[in-house]
Formats: sequence, C-alpha cells, structure tokens
Amino acid sequence: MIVARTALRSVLRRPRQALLVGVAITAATAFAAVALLVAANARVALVAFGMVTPPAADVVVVPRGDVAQGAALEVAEGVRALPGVVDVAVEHLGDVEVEAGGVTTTWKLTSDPGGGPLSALRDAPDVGPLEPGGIVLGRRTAERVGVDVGDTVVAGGHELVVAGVGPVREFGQDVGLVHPSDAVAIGGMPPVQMFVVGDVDLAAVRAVAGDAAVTSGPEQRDREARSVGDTLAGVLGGLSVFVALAVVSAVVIVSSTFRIVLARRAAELALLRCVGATGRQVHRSVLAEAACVGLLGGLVGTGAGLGVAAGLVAAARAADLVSAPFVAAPGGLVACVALSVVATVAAALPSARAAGRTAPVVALGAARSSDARPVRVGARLVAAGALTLTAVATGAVAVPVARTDQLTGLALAALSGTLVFAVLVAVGPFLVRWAARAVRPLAARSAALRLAVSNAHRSSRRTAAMTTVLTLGVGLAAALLVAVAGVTADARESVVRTFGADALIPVDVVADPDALVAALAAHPAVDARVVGTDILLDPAPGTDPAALRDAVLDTVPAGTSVYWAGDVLAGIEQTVAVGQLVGAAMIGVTLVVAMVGVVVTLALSVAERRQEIALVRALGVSRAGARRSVAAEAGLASAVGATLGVVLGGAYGVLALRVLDMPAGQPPLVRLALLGAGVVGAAVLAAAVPMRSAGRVEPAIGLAAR
Amino acid sequence: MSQPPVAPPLPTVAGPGLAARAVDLVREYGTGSSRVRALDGLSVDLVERRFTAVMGASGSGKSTFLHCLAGLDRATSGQMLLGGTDLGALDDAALTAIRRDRLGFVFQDGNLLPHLTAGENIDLAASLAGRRADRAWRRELVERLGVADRLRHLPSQLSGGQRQRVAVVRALLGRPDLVVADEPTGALDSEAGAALLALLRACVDEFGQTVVMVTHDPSAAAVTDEVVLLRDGRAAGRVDRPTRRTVLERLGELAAPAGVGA
Ligand SMILES: Nc1ncnc2c1ncn2[C@@H]1O[C@H](COP(=O)(O)OP(=O)(O)OP(=O)(O)O)[C@@H](O)[C@H]1O
Ligand SMILES: [Mg+2]
Repeated sequence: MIVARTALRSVLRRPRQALLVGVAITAATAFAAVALLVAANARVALVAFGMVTPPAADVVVVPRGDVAQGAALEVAEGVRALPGVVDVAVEHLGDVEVEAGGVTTTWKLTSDPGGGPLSALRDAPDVGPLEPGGIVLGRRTAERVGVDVGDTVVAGGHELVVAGVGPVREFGQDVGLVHPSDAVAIGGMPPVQMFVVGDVDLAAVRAVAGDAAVTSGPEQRDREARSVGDTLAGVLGGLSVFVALAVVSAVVIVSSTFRIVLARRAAELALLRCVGATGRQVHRSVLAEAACVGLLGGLVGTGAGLGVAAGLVAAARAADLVSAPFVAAPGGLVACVALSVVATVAAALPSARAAGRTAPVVALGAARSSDARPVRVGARLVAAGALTLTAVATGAVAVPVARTDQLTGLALAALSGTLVFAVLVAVGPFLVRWAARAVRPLAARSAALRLAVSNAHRSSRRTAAMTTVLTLGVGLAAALLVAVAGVTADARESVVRTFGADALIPVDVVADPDALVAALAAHPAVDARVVGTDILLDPAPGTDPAALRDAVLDTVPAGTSVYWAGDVLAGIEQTVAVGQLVGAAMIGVTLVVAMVGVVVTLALSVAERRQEIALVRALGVSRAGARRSVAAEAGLASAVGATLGVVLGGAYGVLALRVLDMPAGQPPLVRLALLGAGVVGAAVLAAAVPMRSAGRVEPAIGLAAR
Repeated sequence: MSQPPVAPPLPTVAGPGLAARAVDLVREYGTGSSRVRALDGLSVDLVERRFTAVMGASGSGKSTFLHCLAGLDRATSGQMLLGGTDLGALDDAALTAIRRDRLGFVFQDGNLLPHLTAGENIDLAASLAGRRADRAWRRELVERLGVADRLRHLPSQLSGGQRQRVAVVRALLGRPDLVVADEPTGALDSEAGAALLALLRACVDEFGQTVVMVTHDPSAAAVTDEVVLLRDGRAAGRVDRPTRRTVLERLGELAAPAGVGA
C-alpha cells in the first residue's frame, strides 16, 4: 500500500521528470498504436480490393496468358451454350485514353454486364441502367473531370454517354464501367476473366474453356479471402517487427534514464531503508513507479497514436483508398497501453534490483554516484565474445542455407543481427570508454571538450545507451540503403536481360506476326526482328526512343500488348521507391526514439551535474563553453553510434542481398556518409535544449551547499 | 503484500544494564592506497536508560560508530552488540526489522522524503511495517515539538528547524528502545536546540529509553548523563555527569598533544 502510494506520489510530484523518463516508451507506444490502427483499417480496404468475385458467380474462368479477344469471346459463347448456364459475363479490363470535359487522361475501364447478379451495379438500383453506348463513372472521377449524367465522354475514339455516377471502386484512379460490347469496340481492354451463373458441371466448362483455368465460385472467393488474409498477416508481421524494434530501443533508453533518475534519488531510497523498509519494499516501490510512468506514457502515446492514425485514415479516405468508417480497435489500444506498462517495468528491473540493495548509509550522504559503479568487465567481455562468434557463424551459414530455403536464410541473417545488437548492449560502455580515450588528445586544447570527453568516459553506461539505440536506428537505415541500391541494380540488370530490346511483343498475341514485323520494319524509326517467341523492337540507328514509341503505336493494331522495358523498369523502381519510403518511415521511428534518448539522457545528466557545471563556470568556463561541452557529448555519442551503425548496417545490407541471391554491387557510399553525418548533426541539434539549460546554470550555485 | 518480519524483543544481555556494546569495532573504507580506518578497534559500553553524548574531533569516527550502532552500516570486524544481538551476524531482513521496530534516528539535516508530507513522513515506519501508529502518542509528540500545524506541508515548505523536529517525531513515534542522533541540534537556533535536547532528556527520564547523541557542542553535552570521547577511531575516555567546563577541558586535553595518551 505505502509502497504504491509513495511511488505514485513520487511520479505525481515530478510529472515532468516522469514524462521525460517515459517519453521514449511514449513514442514507441504511439507507433504501436498507429501501426495497429492502420492495419485494422487497411484490412477493410484490402478486402474491398482483393474480394472481386461477385457472390452470385458459380464458376470463374480465367484465361491463361494473353489471349486474343476473339478466342475469349468464343469460349464465352461455348460456355453460354452449356446446359444449366443462366448467365455469363466476360470482364474486360484496360487503361484507356478518355477525353472528358476537354481533357484527355488515362482511365481504368472495366466492362460490366449492366444489370443482373454479376453486375457491379446490382446493389445500386438508382444508377444506370448501363446499356451499349453508355458509361458509369465513379463518384470522385465524375467530380474530378466535372461531368454528370447525360454528358458525353470519348473513350478510345468512341463516344459514350454518362448513364450514371455510382458505386465503382476507385482507389484513387479515374474509373468507369462500360458495356462489354463497347469494351470490345474500344480495344485495349483484354478479357481478364469470366463469371458464370447457373447449375453447371465444372468438367463441361473445362472442356469448352481450353487451357483457361476453371474454378468454382466458392473456391475462388475462398482463395481471394485467403490471399487477403495472407497479405494482412504479412503487413501485420512486418509492422510488428518494426514496432518491436522501436519498443526494444525504448526499453534501452528508459532503462538508462531510470538508472540516472534513481542514482539521483539514491539518498531517498536509502532513507526508506533507514526507517525500516525492506529491500523488497524498495524494489517494489521502484517497479510500481515504473508502472505509473509506463501507464502515463502508454496513455499519452496511445492517444497520440489514435490521433495520427485517424489523420492517416482521413487522408486515405480523401484519396479514395478507403471508404469504410474508421476502425478504432479499442481492445488493441488497451493492449498498447499494457505494452507500455510491461516494457517500462521490464526496463526498470535492473535499477529496481540495484535500488533494493541500496545501503541505508547512502541516505546520510556516505555513498558516491551509482553510475560510477564498476561494470563486471570480464564476464561481459566473455559473454560478448561468445555472442559475436555465434553472430558471425549464424551470418555465415545464412547464405548457403538461403540457396535451399530463402526464408530460413533471411531468418538466420536477422538472428545474427539481433545477436550483434545484444553484443552492443553488453559492451557499449567499453566501446564508449575506448572512443572517449581515443578522442581525448583532440580535446586537449578546450576545457569544454575535455569536460565532455571525461563525462562520456565517467558515465559510460548512459552514453552507451544513447549510442546503442542510435547504432540500431542508423544500422537499419544503412542496411535499407544498401539493400535498395542492390535491388535496383538487380532489377535493371534483369530487365535488360529478359528484354534484350527497348520493347517486345509476344508472337502469340498477334494474328500474323510476319506481316506485323514487316509493317514495323518498314517504318524508318523502327528496328524490328523476331527472336524466339518475341518480336523485339529497338529504335533504328539515329532515332530516339520516343520516336520508336510513336511509330509502334501507329503501326500495331489497337488492343495489341506491347511491353516496354522502360515502363517495366520504371514500375519496378517505383515499387522499390515506395518500399524504401515505407521502410524509411518504419526505421524513422527507431531513429526518433534514439534522438529522444539523446535529448532525455543529456537533459537528465545536465540536471544531475548542475553543481559541477556551476563549479567549472565559477572556475572560468564561459557560458558558451558549458553549452559546447553538452554539444560535444552529443556529438561524441552520436558519432560512435553513426559509425558503428553505418558499418554494421552496411554489412548486414550486403548479407541480406547475398541471402536473396542478388549482386551487392557498388555500395551507396555517398548516401551512407550522408546518413552518418545527418545523424550526428541531428543529435547535436537535438541537444539544443539541454545545451540551453547547461548554459543557464549560474556559477553561484556551485558554491552553495546541497 | 507480505508482512515484513517483526524484530524479536532484545534480551538485555549486552551486559548488566547495558543497551549496547562495541567490542574491538573496526570499520575500513576504500581499498588499497585509499584505505581509511574510520574505526580502529573501538570498544565502548552504552548504559541502558541513559543519555550518552559521543564527542571527538572531526573525522574521529563518531558518525561511523553511530551508523554501526544503528544497524545502518556493517563493521569490517569486531562486534556490535545491541542488547544480546550481534548486529554483524544478522541478515538484511532481520537488521531491517530491528531498525524499524527497535531504533529511532535523528540526523543532521532532517532526512525526510521530499514527496511525502510531514505527517506522512512521521507515519512512514509504521506504514512500512503495516501497522497503525499510536494516535495519542503521536499527538503528544507533535504538540510538544510544535509542528502540529505543519503536518500537511511538504518538507520543502518547512524551515530547517521544523524539518528537524518532524524527523524527531518520526524517530520517537515507535517508542524505540534506542534513539541515536547525529548532531541533531546542528541546524537549529539555540531555543529550538534546547527544546529538542529537553525532549531527548524526557525520553530517558520519562519513557525509559536510551539515547545516544553525537555533538560538537559542549553545552548540549552538558545535558547528557555521560560523554564518550573518540579519537582516531578509538575510545579516548569518558566524562561522567558532564558540565560545559569539564567537557571543554577534556576535549582540550584530547586535542593538544598528538599521539600522547593513545
Ligand atoms: N563513505 C566513506 N568513504 C571513505 N571514507 C569515509 C567514508 N565515510 C567516512 N569516511 C572517513 O572515515 C573517517 C571518519 O569519518 P566520520 O564521518 O565517522 O567522522 P566524524 O567523527 O563523524 O566527523 P565529523 O565530526 O566531521 O562529522 C574520516 O576520515 C572520513 O574521511
Ligand atoms: Mg559526523
């Protein structure tokens, strides 16, 4: 009782300090909440995006590969003639140039039977009917291009009258539904699947459908549901890895800040021991305090996360990516708060144990700073050595293992990285001390720098906490940069290899390949030839690729599939860029937690050292000098973290590429250097607040009694 | 929450009429070249139901002795007997229970928990033991020391002297057998100091407790029954029924010829 009350009181009396201690876990909890809510809301969008088979469809026929228009329609007629078939709808899909309101843009057009159970309009009786010569627009599309029912648009040269504005899935694109007969006439809209209604024998459909895949409706819907589930599990899994990284970083930071705060309060805890508190009671009071801090941080973080997620979902809705109402997932949010409490209590465990062992005489001023307590060097180095060996061995076997099982290979690489992080946590203080010793000669001429270096050396544990988390963040970022560079290079190479030309047309999608090659070759800008099963197209010597594109589009019949190497590469690069952006955002959270760690650690250590700073001020160090020493401490810690991070992260990036069997190529040295420099700069900037408070310390208090 | 163990009553076998006894007590700080012998074979008897002052030069080991006596610190060697119990042989839990139930402390700067009010600080030991304090006794102590209207204040809102008196109430509330005080009047003006000394005197005379107090002030020592003198971590004689003059004389002798009389 008294234990909990004392703990709560101690948090409430110093709410600022509690927030400062907990801010790292607050950031991590906010991230967890955002991730959870985004996943919950993405689920709805993914279902809408992935569940495309209408409930009424009894059989789904998907043509294999590129099938000529006519062949598909023949299959459709064949199926329609089968006994038991009630209805058949062929879905055509394509990107078509549409002129609306005087502007021509590319729309995604889909064919729709216009009515009946297979129509997308089945649940919207007020829209339509969609008949030949008509088009139904998505709501946003109609708004964007400024047309309404009765207006005319021109699609692929065909005039269509807007028959309705209604429930078409838009996903941020310009979309429209057209009648199947118009889809055939417009061209460029190949048949992608056909839905069959009726009590019909699958084998009979297969007999008619040739080599097309025939599936029953329920099975197809099941498959879609499973695929949506898999995607969702993948998203959740990926997110939880990054949430875990952020939480681990926060635990390292919070653990360190707890140690600082409790060292300052050692006398208080010892006083509890003096008046008769058992070691367990003191231990528990620290854990209870940690729980309070975690609860506070969890509530603030979850609240902030809820706000951010609501903003993100609103933005997604504005971009038509989701239409469902916001999913708040209250159970998940409670779990986020619980995560914060558990993580904070776990972070406080070591300092709580130490606090329970505080000697009572410490209350009487007989003890010295606990951070100066010697770490057991030998045991740690042995453990670190063993872990390092295991990490190297795991990393080394990852590559050969990946040849047979890529997923296991990746898991081994990740395990190796985790082990290296554990090593860093164990030997961080020594690394910091070595680094401080190494730069000491450089600091010889400035009192402020000397002060910073000796501080980093003396409080090597707290400096190491900053460094370790920075290393993690920078390491992940560096690995991402290396991997992205490798993947991009690999994509470029494989596109060049598979295409062997600027563009290609598969021979089997054209009716008369020889005639087409002859027609293309006749054009002065085109160099066309048949190699294997493809017609390869290059710009004729002296002409540019743009001219090639115009020439090809002029020559080939409408609706012919032409694959452009440039387009494919641009598509891959765009995907990689999106992946990089998402990865950077995820890793950014860990870096933010690391920066929070720098600010909090320095702020607490300036508060702890006010007396000392005042004394050196009294002895002649200038205000700017005091500030500089804090900046130098931030610089030293972040330089160690950035260097380690870039080196280790780069190495693991290369390892990941090797595991994925991609050439590592030239590492992006400039970007890596920029990353390191940027992090050091950011850390020094982040130190601005503690710098200010160090500069504000008045020399007089150095001489006053405690 | 488990109940902390309760200390067994102290059998009074440290010697006939002795509350505590130090035998060859040694306390060393530090290691190697920075080693300091704060107590260097100190042997002292403290008589029950007496008010004893401990005096000596700065650094002579007075505080160190008091810490060992109060079970706050452990001696490097030698015995510290409290009643018949050798404090050095107790484990931490037993020592904690003795501190909580049998001992009261007053130190120089009050030593209150900053985030608890004066009243909560007073009740701290009882709350930690899961007990309720004796209400009437608490009221009497609070009134005698003049802090009755300050109980809802935080330590930071009290004067140094008030903090000190709150700490005294806390020390006496559990009716401990032994009260130890390290320079308790150091931060007080002469009037408050006199009131505090009168209360410690009353502890002995009215309530039958044993009080041991470290002080540098000969006038304060004159209030006690006996002065124990320390020098370089060893006993250097006693003064029975001290007066300001006899104390000053003995302290003068102690300081004058270094190395003589040890
Ligand atoms: N925690 C400690 N670490 C190292 N040395 C200590 C420690 N505490 C005390 N000492 C040393 O032990 C010796 C005795 O100290 P102690 O505090 O007992 O003296 P004292 O008699 O109470 O002095 P004062 O009258 O100044 O309070 C001194 O030399 C002191 O420097
Ligand atoms: Mg002393």
